[in-house]
Amino acid sequence: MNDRHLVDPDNGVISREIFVSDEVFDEELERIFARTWLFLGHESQIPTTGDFFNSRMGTESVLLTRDTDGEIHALLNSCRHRGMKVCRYDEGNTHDFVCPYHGWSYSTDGTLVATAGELFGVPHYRAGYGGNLDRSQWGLVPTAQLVNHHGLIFATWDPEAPPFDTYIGGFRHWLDNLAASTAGERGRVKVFRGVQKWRIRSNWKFVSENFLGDNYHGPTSHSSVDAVGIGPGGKHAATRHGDNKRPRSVASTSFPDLGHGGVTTAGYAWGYPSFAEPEIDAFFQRRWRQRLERLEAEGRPIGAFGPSTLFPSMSLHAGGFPRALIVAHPVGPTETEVWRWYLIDDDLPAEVESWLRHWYLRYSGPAGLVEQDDMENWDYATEASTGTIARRYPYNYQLGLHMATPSEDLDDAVESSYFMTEENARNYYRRWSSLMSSTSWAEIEERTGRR
Amino acid sequence: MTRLRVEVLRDRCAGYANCVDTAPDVFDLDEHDIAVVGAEDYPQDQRGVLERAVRRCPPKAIVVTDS
Repeated sequence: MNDRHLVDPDNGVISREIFVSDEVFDEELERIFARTWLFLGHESQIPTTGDFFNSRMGTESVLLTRDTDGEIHALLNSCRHRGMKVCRYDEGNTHDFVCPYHGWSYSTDGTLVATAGELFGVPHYRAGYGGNLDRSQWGLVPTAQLVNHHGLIFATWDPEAPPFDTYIGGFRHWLDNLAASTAGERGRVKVFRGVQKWRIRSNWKFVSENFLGDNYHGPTSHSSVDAVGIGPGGKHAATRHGDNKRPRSVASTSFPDLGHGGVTTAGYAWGYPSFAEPEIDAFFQRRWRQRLERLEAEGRPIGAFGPSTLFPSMSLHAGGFPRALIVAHPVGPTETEVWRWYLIDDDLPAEVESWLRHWYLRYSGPAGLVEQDDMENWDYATEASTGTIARRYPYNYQLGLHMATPSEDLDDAVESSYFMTEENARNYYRRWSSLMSSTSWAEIEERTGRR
Repeated sequence: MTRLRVEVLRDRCAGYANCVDTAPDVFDLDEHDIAVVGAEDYPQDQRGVLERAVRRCPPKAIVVTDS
């Protein structure tokens, strides 16, 4: 499909078709979700051998498993015989996935099979198949590549996809902040169990676009929650983040060749919010000082701190408060299943953990006050864009057009000279268009000169 | 020394034949493709291979006990 006519980032105009069309959606599954690196879960969800977490990539169920050697695998949750889900639990512990339909059985036990997910038994193997079924060829389908990035697990179905480090580029700093504790220690976070999952009647890209640097919607969309005062600072704090030291204008960063984007630059962070409770406030101010000392000692940038999106569908609040991430799984052009994970330091005192849980849930998730504001916008924008007349008129992405400058910190990024900008969205759709209009990674890399 | 008693739960067995692959001297299949055990009991030195057959049985149809 040639989607160049639908997406025109240079002029800041994008057709509504890419948010509502069945044809575009089907093509996205093939050209984006089957090819890019996608987030599956955090290693703290499967800490011991035999643990599994039933995750998802695009529209498909994928089992994140830990085998007997402690290695992590991602396996398509669909029996090779008739496609039945071999596992219908959200999470658990087993090495055997026995299909409930005809009994084909798969194992992640390295003492029984050569590769995780291998077919290790079928009923009536001798009498029915004459012992001739080549079980080594009929295992659960594994992802082509998988990485554990400081505890965050990513995988891709495409063996030709660029290595993960190349794929994320300078966006690594936002991911690294998500994966580190509030004191900056790498890998010292864990997931609050469990993962919130719910469906919205919105195109999946609205979610990604909202978090990758849309500072524009905040003052309008979230003015009511700011008025109520739901933040850590309580009723008298300036905003829902409670951070009375957060500056009004923060630049954002995006990656024209990679599509990722986030608020703040790699070199700037605004610090942790002020909390209404003195002991919790003191706790996090101490962690902030520890973080600055650690990052400086290790030569890591202190910024890359704000809301952000890893192309295509993983969004995160990199610097915490709330330290959470959301994945927008496509269901159809106008329906999305969103999964939200909450991350906390693995050594928090119980009272701090409890305090954070309350604030996180007040903020995010299906009942979270800030998330509800966003969902209203995404749902109604999608609905009001499906009509015959509405589809004739494109969306406007001209905020901050031609106001981007090269990043001071990162060689593959640009920054906006004015803090309210749609530069990040334009670069996101530039990447989207590049993937949608090419048949191979080689073609994309030739175009962008990156590998 | 006690010997090992091996039992196949016939209503669970589905003819995977993994036990026959693992311990052909112990297990066989009958005319209904259900696993059968050759002897009343087995010596202790067969414990390793029998436990492996237990682990390789997807429907967990094999029970090994000290007789």
